[in-house]
Amino acid sequence: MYRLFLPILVTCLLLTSCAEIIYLPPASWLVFPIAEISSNSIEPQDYRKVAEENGDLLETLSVGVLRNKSRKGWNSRVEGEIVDERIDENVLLAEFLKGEGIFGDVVLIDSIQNADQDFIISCSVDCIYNIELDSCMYMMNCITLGIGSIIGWPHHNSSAFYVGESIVYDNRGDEAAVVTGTMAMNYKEWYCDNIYWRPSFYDDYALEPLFEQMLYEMIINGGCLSG
Amino acid sequence: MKQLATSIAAALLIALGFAACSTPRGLYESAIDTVNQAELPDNDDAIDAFEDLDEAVALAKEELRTDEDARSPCVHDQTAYVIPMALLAKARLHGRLTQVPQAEDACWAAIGDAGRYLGRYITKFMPAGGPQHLFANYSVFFRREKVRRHGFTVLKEIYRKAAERDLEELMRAQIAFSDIYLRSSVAHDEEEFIRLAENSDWVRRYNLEKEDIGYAFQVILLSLAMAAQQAAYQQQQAQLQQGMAGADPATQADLQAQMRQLEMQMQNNMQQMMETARKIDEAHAAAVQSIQNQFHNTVVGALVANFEMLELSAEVKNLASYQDLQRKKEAFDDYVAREGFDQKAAAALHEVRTSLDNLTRDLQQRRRQ
Repeated sequence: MYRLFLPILVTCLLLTSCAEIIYLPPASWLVFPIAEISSNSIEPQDYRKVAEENGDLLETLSVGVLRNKSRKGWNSRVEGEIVDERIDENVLLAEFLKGEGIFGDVVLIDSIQNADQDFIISCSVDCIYNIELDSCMYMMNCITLGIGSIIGWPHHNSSAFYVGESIVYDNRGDEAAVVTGTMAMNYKEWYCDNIYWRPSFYDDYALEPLFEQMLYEMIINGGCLSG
Repeated sequence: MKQLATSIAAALLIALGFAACSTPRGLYESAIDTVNQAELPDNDDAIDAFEDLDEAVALAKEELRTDEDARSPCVHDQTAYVIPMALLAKARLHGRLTQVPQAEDACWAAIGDAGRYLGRYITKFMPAGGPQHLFANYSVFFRREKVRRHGFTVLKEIYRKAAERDLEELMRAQIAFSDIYLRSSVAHDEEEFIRLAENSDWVRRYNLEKEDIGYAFQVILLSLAMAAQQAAYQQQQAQLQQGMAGADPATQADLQAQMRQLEMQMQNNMQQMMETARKIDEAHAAAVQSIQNQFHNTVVGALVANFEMLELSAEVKNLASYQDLQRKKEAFDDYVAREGFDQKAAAALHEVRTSLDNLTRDLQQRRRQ
């Protein structure tokens, strides 16, 4: 009986690999289970060129990111279990803006009243996500008696639909703040999520395309370039 | 040969690109590039973008009407969102072309369609046999309110450029109103509950599919075991029959007895296997039922929790209709805790909803006096 085990296992592994090559984008199967592979449906506009051209002006500006007080301890739950620790997206936006280094100063603020920054930005992200079972890969993992799963062959397909809305207040004038903003949409798909790795739907990496679009709109339409 | 391969590859790429663009999301995403481009779009580009956006809206509405998948809670609002998003993009493009009345119409259309389509899957949640349209008027306010806030933001920018001070001021007031709601803990809780309801749908699909595959495996294994036993029995029977040919009467009687014993053993084994098959079927049906129950309870729990978010003043809490609402809600909670969610619970939930409507009307009437 043990003589049969090896050929059966090799056949199953070959079959699984074939199924994987058919179902996944080329080369993604080479890097499982450690790599994060995902695709975005939007290509955010490139603000870097404009930011470089107007670097001196933008560096003089201070930006306040308005924290969402209600977002404390807000996690995503499935069947009572926390599947995603979710922090306020404005905290992530502030980190993103600091990382870009375009503006002179970026601070997190709790209230718009008495804020003395030149611009105030606040965003909210709505995410509808979906995890589907890849029946074919799941069956293959069952046939290999779970060995496929342990090696890290993926049998989940994850996707998330995001709508991010930002509001930008130009706080420099004496009168009421001038408001602008954007609403951006992104559909994101992840590959190779398996028992070792699951995508995080709310981390800075997942939200980055939306932040980039928000930043572009803020620089171009928010009045940052008007001095 | 190389040319042929290149042509086929190019044709495939074009076909894939065309397939991606002909979805509501694809059409929206191709048009948004024109809306966002730094330079003012020329006439042809603008016309193309408007056509794409109109088509995206029409296709999304058609999908919501006809496609079974698009009606599922975890997919519905992904499709429904495209409608107001495309209309808002139209408003922005009209704004860039200084077509103010058209921009206003597009914004109002976006706000109206957000109310009509976003969150409508809530009405499809209820189990079969329960009262229909239980949550016909239920709203996923936070999504609609975001569309509303952004619509007014777009208009505010347009009015600022057109130096329409009064309208700009009105827009500022509208944005502030939406802000107050969207920053409140009520909107925050609502978003959390709706997400819980949406998640429960994909969890249900995922678990059902896993359960079906597990069941299929068990059935296949059992069938293989039965076939193997049948083959072994036939082999043993053939051997006994061979042994009986030309044997003395005593040996024949002995072999006959062995044959009868083998037959009985085989019957017993088959009966046991049939019993196992029946148990597997029962376990599968119970697992499916449990997954469905868990889904309904999560959804109902998420929806009922919305009633608990009401933050009302002492004046409202003293009203008879408020006391009635509390009584109905407690009765409903008790019933679901005892019996789970069934047709009676659905009817009780409908009563809770009616009580809430009565409270609303009561308060509106009092404010008018």
